Amino acid sequence: MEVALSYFLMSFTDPYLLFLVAMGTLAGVYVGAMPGISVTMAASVLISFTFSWDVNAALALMVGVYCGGVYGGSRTAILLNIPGTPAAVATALDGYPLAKLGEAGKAIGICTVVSVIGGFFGIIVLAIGAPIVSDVALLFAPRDFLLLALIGLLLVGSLSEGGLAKGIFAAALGVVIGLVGLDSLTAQPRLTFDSPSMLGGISYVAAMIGFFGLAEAFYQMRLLHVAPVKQDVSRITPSIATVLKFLPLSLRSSIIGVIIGALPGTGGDIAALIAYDQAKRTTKKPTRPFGQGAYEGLVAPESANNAAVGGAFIPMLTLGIPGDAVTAVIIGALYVHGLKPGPMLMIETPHLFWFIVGALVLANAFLLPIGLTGIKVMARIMSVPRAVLIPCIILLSVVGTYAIQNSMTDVYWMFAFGILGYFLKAYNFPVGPIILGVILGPLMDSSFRRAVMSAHNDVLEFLASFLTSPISACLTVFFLVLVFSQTPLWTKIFGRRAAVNATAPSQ
Amino acid sequence: MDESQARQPGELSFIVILLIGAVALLWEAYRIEGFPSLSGAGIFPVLTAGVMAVSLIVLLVKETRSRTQVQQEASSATEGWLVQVAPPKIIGYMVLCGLYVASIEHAGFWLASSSFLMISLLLLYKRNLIPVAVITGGVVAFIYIVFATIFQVYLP
Repeated sequence: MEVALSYFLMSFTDPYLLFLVAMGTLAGVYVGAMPGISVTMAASVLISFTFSWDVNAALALMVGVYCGGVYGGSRTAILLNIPGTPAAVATALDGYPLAKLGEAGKAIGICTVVSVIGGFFGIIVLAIGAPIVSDVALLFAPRDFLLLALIGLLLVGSLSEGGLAKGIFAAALGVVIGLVGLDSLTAQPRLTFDSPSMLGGISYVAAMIGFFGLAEAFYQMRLLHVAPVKQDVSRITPSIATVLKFLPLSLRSSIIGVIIGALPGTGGDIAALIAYDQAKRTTKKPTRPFGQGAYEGLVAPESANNAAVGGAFIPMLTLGIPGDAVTAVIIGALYVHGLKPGPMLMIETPHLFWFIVGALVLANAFLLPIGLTGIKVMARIMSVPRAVLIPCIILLSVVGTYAIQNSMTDVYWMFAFGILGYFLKAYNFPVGPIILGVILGPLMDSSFRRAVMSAHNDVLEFLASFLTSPISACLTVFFLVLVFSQTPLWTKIFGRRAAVNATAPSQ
Repeated sequence: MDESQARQPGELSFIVILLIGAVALLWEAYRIEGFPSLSGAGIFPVLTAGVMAVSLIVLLVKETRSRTQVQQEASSATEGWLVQVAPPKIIGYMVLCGLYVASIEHAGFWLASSSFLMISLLLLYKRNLIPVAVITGGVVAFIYIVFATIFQVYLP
């Protein structure tokens, strides 16, 4: 317990780590606020510079960037109607109408406070829930990890834009990228096209920077002409009465956020949209109609997407399965640092868990002063033209990719993924599942083959094993329900029932 | 026709190109151990490349049933592709980035990066040479100080 506490407080007491968390949060807020730079892009570019660092220092920076980035995305959503991050899409629905009504300052203030409330809620759940999940995860068989990874990919594939087929293709593409190189069990070359340079595999950080950094930079060129709008952002600290008024909704939305965040594959973006929908349905007297500047429409998504940060760390640290695209990037970084997120992480390196929890608390605490001050600097940063930003992102992407293992081959891969990513985005293919697939591919491969081996290579025994243990049976049922929910039959049954329910009150 | 049923110009060709890539991957996966055993090294690559190919075939069937949605300003599908999907400005900039990446090993990182930044800013930012040179100098100095000196990152 004492050791855990000392690691929890480490980032508070070590000035260097304190500085890194603060700088990470600051960078995250400002980078997240820049239209066109998603928090995933920021994390994937920034973490590549930390590979030579001590693991604690690298984690301190990453945690800060993650927390700051998720919050920072709300700024541009409110001021420019351009969500800085996917998690801020729901925020723009009522945030921008508020800015048009001249209440941008008040909206940003409330956003900051509820983001911090949501963030702390998520961290509390992480601190309590992760050790429990980790204990349960020790009972997991390889087939359970396979099912969890499949559930994650199916969830992210089905919920992303462009439809299920595009989502599944994207996830499978990611898995294939993750499988290139020597097989971890038999050392056989796989998918290398007889090229010796591919035997070592494709660096997943190069893939991440390519798909999220370069592709996004190319895509942002479509919006070169969009000019920033100046808003009145004075007086942003909300009164205590205002905070107390929105507290119940904030806590309700935080619960949704942390649950959605903890599901493998789903993160702040989906949590925010579900919380917004929940607020819309349950708030009887909103400050204004939803979509026209209701503060409730701002409180719900912002509480949820920040609570989802803590939630997303649960499957990442306890199961080695990313909660969303950013945690997929962080898992990649942990691998580079020689750590293996999963059930054994809490046993072999429990201090790391408490260090992350401590850094998250600190980053959330920093959000308040950073969010409520520095508005003028923020306004200036946000007005940096895309025409200047895009070449800088490309330059940083090259430097960051090369820094991973000092290899120009990685840079060439990054460039190729950037071009492919641009066209995938242009044709409405989701990019998030690719990164999840890259991380989950090797885990699914080894879990599948271990599960088959433990069933003595017998197909029937292998299939029966999914129903023999309670954990496997629960996961199998959940997976099958998810698959069924994507069929036309599901829409026929439940779509009709929903239509009946919707018309019932008016009759 | 609602928008979800409409496809972008060139989408069918893009799916066909991806499908050719998926089939090539499937063949490469099959080459690992021929018809794979259930726990062999080839099973998962075959399954995944198969999933890629099947999802693309599903998409292809779905998209062939929908109509291309071309914006009003474009008169043909090719023109629509150039307006909606791959504007010449973006394709040209991709080529410039490709040249930059290819030139790093020959010209060195600093020269290649400075030239790339200058040309990019002249093309995109459309300002005089002096502000462009100042921004380029500032960005290059920032990279040198922060990444090369403080973070001690190896540069190409």
